[in-house]
Amino acid sequence: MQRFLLQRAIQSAVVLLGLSVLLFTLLVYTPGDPVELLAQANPEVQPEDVQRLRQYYGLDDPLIIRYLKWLRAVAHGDLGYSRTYSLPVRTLIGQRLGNTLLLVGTAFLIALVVGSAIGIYSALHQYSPADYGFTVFSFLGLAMPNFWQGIVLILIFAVWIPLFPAGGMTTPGVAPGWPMAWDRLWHLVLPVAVLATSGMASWTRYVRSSMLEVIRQDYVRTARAKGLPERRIVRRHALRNALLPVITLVALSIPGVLNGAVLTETVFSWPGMGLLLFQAVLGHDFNVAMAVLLFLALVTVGANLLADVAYAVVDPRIRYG
Amino acid sequence: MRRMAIAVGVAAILLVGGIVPLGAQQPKLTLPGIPNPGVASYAPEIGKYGGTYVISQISDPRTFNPIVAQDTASTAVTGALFEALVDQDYLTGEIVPGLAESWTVSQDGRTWTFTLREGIKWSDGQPLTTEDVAFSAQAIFTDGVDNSAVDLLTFQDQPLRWRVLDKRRIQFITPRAICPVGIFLRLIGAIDVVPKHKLADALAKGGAEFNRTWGINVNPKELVGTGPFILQSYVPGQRLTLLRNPNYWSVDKRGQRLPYLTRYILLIVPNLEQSRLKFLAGETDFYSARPREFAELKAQERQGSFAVYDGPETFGSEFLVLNQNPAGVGSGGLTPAQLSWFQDVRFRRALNHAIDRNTIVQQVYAGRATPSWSPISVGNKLYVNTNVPQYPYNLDRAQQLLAEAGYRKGADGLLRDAQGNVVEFTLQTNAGNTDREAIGNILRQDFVKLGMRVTFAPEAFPSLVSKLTGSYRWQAIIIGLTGGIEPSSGRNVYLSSGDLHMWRPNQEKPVNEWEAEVDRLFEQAACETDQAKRKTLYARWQQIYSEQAPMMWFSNPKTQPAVRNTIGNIKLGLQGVTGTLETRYYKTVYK
Repeated sequence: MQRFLLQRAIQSAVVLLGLSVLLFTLLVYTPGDPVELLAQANPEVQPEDVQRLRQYYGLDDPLIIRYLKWLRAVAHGDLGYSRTYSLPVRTLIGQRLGNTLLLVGTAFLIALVVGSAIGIYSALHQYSPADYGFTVFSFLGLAMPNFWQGIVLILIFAVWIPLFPAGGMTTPGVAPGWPMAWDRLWHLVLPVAVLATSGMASWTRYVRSSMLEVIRQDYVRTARAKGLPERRIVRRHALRNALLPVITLVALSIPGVLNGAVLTETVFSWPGMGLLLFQAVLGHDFNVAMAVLLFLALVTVGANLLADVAYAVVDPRIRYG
Repeated sequence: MRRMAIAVGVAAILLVGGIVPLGAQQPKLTLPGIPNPGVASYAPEIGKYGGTYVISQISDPRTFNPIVAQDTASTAVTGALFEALVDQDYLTGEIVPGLAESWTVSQDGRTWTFTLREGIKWSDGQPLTTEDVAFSAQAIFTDGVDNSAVDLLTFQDQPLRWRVLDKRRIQFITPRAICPVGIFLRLIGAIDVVPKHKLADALAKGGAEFNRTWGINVNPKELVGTGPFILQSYVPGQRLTLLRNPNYWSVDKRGQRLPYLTRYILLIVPNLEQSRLKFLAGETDFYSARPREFAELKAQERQGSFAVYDGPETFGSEFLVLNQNPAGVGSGGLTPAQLSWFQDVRFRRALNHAIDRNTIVQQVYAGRATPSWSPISVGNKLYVNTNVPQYPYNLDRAQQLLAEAGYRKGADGLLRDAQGNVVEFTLQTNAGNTDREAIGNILRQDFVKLGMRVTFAPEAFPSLVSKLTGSYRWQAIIIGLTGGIEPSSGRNVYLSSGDLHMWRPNQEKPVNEWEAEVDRLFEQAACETDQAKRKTLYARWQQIYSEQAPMMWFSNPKTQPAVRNTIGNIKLGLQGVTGTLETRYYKTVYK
């Protein structure tokens, strides 16, 4: 097991390094470097100034030199400065990470719990009207793009029927303590609804099919033949086995939820990592974009690793090594 | 955002060099310790104290240091915290007193003496003195400080000089060797006065340190200003909260101290769509709508308890320009035949008659624009010349003008010049700008009707700009310019030596007599401190440009500000500004 872990960790590190090269190259070749943008915005800027600034930012160095410089800084824990905010990137991410985790975590939990419950119910009542209803619902949830769903929800529940705020995370001037917690919750409802519906839809599909497969197995039939109560069959024999593949999926779907948060945060002006990335890319804030993208890559690789380990732990049939 | 509307004919009084007797006819309004406060006589209503005004903006500020702030997201905040010696009246564009209650200019027009209002205090209670003014000027001229005003205040390599006369009087001196600086008051109005007692240490450590000081993570208590508001808190990516400055130095017509509002909040939103939704949901009090949204918002006024105003035109405009530069001849650029058409004023006038401005206004701006014939926007009431020659849409007239210039339409329907070349060219604009792309299609259709072969090919903005300013290899381009109130801010476009003089930039000597005249007009205006005389000079320039049609303007888009009904003292000024921050107030009767 330890050897396996070590192997996978090394593999992950190599993948991350490769990804950083790829991301770096892509960002460097994004049209319009910051100095060019500055020159366009201000016709008074002289060509000499442009040259001086390019040199100052090291924009004229070869790609490989720029990458190595960046890598060395990152290895020392220095993610650089944000050009837009004139703050260390680390501070910025610190401010935003918690907000994203709150949003994504809440949505993920709701999606997982509600989605699984619906999936189990659908599987046990296959081809019932409720099963069809949930199937339609989950396809709708999967088919609707997050950003569109977000705008529609704001239009309905903030503009037409003003129940919830039209985006943002806090109301100015709310007293700290319970009122503030309540206010945060109130702001969470719509973005979480958007993120959760799409997540919920896929959980419903996964759990339903996994459950359907299991309840047709011989051992379930045996359990029934033994005369066990249906509740016990479902809980002890079917569900446990049906949720095995779902555990892997939980880990594997974490990056997907985070990516979904990029658009959702943008639509709801939720001050998280996604919005930060979006604005960094638009504003050519290289260090910030690079750091957030790398963070996403790290989460993806980490989640994969976690999935492998989790699988090994819960499924006695799988042994590495 | 904080002007006074008293100074009628300031410029005329300045010429004789006397002190301007402000508000002499009105009953004298005073504040404790401030015998001569600013008076917001332009505000239509007397407001109530209290309330919060909430708006949204697209980006986070980058700095709170007004000397180094350049982007609008930062200046939107610093504008409420800091003031300059003089101000611009938001209704008329005239220069009016600010921190300085009056000023005089010497006979030779090179020495300006400003007198501060007595008794103004910084928001921390320290008195404002001319030392602070001198310190602000010094900061601008300190090596390494990021500030664009330094170029404007340096005249042919000689910097502006100043001398503190006493606690309330300071002199600025422009170089003797150079003619008086016409727009000097506007330049001074661009310098926000900052507190020496807070920033002197940072400046002493050099420009780089000063640039970093008062960054966005500063403790708001450090931000000491003379503006109507002070910063209470800033949450990056979310909001800025500003509070009333109890030391502000202006009063309303009844002598009550301004501002009325207790709180002013700027929400940070990621895009215009969010900005609109926030306004519709009643979470913000102001939204600057786009032309196409006007009708839709108008229909929702009652339901949303807001009003959307039919605002005046912005200072910007889109236009068509034809390449007249011999350096542009070559592959990817002009053919010799094209160069000769584009240099021919008769050809340009004919094309100008084929531009259907009304269709552009209707289709591109949903009726929310005014046809434009001059480089100065209709909205710039101070300088626009509305009596320039116009080119109403008339294809027959265009055809006739072309025939007079020797162009013939053949049996195949194609237009040919006297040498038999088919008239064809490529029309470009920056891809992704849907307004300009729509205009391009309208133009192409009409030019084709004249028998021309026109290809419309939008291209990415950076490569378009590099063609305009670098390779000169282009034929016809649709592009836009934003304008300042003073035409001199467009010197690099209108002077024949300018690098943005798009149809033929960087001329060593003006090629055409009319370009030489425009150069002379601009040089004269630059030395003219009398605004009325500048207006005459610029009127002649607009006349010439319209006659010669080197640039063909389409229309000036209108503004359509939408304001919640709970907000008072709304009176539209230049570019659709709805009032000043300090006179804005919250009516409690609605809602």
